[in-house]
Amino acid sequence: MDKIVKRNPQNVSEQGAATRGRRPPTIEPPVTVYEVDDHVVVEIEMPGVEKDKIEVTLERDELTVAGWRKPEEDANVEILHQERPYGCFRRTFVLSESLDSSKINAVYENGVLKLTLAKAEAAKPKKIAIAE
Amino acid sequence: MTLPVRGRGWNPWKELMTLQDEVNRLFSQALAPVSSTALFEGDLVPPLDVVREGDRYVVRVDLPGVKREDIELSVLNNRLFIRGTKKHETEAKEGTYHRRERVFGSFERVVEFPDPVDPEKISAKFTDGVLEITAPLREEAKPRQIAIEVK
Repeated sequence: MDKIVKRNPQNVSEQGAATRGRRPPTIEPPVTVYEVDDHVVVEIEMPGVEKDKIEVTLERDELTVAGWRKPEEDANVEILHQERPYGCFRRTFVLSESLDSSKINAVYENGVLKLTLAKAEAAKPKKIAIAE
Repeated sequence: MTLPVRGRGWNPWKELMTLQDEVNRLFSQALAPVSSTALFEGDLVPPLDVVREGDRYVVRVDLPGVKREDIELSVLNNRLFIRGTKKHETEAKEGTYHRRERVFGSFERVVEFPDPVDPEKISAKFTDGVLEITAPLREEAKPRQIAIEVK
């Protein structure tokens, strides 16, 4: 645990807004990140994005999740009320060295992308047997 | 503070008309076709779109992470009620969170269709966390083209 905290206040921390600002306007979907024993779970809400339109990329320690939801383009459709955002969903995270970047698992279900990131061996909690 | 500039002196009627416009605006907001029951910021208000595609209305609601069986749909007096609960089924324990942006809880949205729909013909599907409700117009509400015979 200590190792994770030292390197980064968060195992998975987000990149600064400065880098995001230069890109065309994107949707920042809500994210929940938590730790479970030997792994870290990242849940990202991306409703209406087809599974094959989701991209998860890892470049060095930068993990990017992106997806595209296309707007209503049919001219025969009359829009009466619109609240849902359209465009590119994107979030970028910086992974701490306490995570094993070769072990990232992604599952998309009910509009939520769930990433499971394994902790590196050194960062895993070790059980210590108490001698009798 | 400067006084508003009026064209030809003070017109009490105009003043009254402005007030009426203001009241009308307030009422039209209160009776907006789409409403939600959220009282506080942070409450769950799933965003929705309403479109008209020819003879039917299509309502799309973003419900990521909501289970099909936790959604309740009903229709009454040309109003569509979308209710449900978004539960966080997780193995996470308090104190293990690094970030908590997702909002959970119960929700209710109401859509009032401008023209009468046929409650018997309303259908719904749920794909990738998006609920799509199709409500066809009642026969008598459908726009009809009437050919006029040229003599």
